[in-house]
Amino acid sequence: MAAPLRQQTDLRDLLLRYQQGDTAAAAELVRAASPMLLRFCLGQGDTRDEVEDVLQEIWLRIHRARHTYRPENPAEPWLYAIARYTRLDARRRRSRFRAREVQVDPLPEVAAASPPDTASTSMAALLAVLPPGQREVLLLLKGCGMSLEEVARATCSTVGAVKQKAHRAYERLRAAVGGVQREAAE
Amino acid sequence: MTCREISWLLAGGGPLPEDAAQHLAACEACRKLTALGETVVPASLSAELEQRLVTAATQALRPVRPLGPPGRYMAALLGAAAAVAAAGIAVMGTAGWTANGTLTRAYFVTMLATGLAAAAATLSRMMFPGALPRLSPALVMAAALAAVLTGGADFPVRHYAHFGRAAAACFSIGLAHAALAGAAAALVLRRGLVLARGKAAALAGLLGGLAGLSVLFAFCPHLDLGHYLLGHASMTAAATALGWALAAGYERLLPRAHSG
Repeated sequence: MAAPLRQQTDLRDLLLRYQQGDTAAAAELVRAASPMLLRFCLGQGDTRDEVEDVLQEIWLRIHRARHTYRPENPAEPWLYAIARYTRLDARRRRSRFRAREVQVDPLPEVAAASPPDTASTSMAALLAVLPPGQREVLLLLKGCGMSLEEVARATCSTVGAVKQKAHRAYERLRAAVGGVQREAAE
Repeated sequence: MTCREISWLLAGGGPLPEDAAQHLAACEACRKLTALGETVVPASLSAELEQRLVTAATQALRPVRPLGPPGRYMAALLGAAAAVAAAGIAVMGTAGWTANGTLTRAYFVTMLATGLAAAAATLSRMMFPGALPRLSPALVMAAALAAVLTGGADFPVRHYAHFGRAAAACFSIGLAHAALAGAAAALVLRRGLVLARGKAAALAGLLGGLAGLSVLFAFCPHLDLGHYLLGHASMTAAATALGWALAAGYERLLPRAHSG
């Protein structure tokens, strides 16, 4: 299931107008692309609060790198490639800070974290059994509706490697689903 | 049709053939996997978040000119490496080139030209997010370093008095040229947005290392295996590793500096 052609054309057109300094196109691009980037990050198990911070960083980076988009390339892989690396950077940074954190006082009670987005919980729960690389490929393929080539572009990989990863992910998911069925039967 | 075949079909992304229906009717696990993409519904943004994102995307918005085609940057990277190599050879001389046989010259010229072209082509595509990579950076590095090592097969084993000093001199000369070429490559790469910074820096190090190796091949008259492996081949590997280490150190020291 490839991304709909209409959406691809729209995003490409918006990106080109964004490069020309069109503020309305930039705002429209944010409205059109942010939900799919949000779903991409949520689907990988990040919390809503983490994703909202990362999303802002993603748009800052997209803004600074808008000159690197070339019209002959599809728009979605360009957006996802930037989103993917920004998210990985943010994760690395978070884990580094957490490793250095020293708790000196008992933590105050805080309000409950924002509830997970019901939109993507069922898929995220199923994908949680996969290693990050396989989860990401399956999310881009099935959750974001990209083709194998687009996923290869977004992940800086080859089409063959993406297909192999997706196949391994399905095999692992099948084992997990089968396991659940067996447990239920017992 | 088996479960494994269904997995391959799903991984391929295309529609399932008609005979898959029979299998799906009998296999619940495959049915669940097939329905995976259908469980997703659009995620929504709050109005406040959307406004913050619009602000991030439109701050100081002005027209920008898109980057030229990757071929232009490949030429710039090759040009930078060639300029450093040519300047080095002009200063150091060509005693090594004269001392080597025709077959060795043919091997090294082919290996260096191919390695430099592959590194420059891969690097230039890495400047464009979402560009389909023609060659994997790891594969280019592994193949180039293997070819550099294989280049020593033609040299005999010899012992002489100032072996260590000669190898250290060649290592330093090669690495100095590698640093110059690597720095020039970094200036070219800064025009784009390199996302896989560690791999790109290692590849830029390899590009520099190959430029340094070109200088050493033309200049160094020590034609023995030990000298080649310690002074020439290990310098290329060290330049690659140094590129990667610099990128890793940069990310560790300045975690937020590369957000642009």
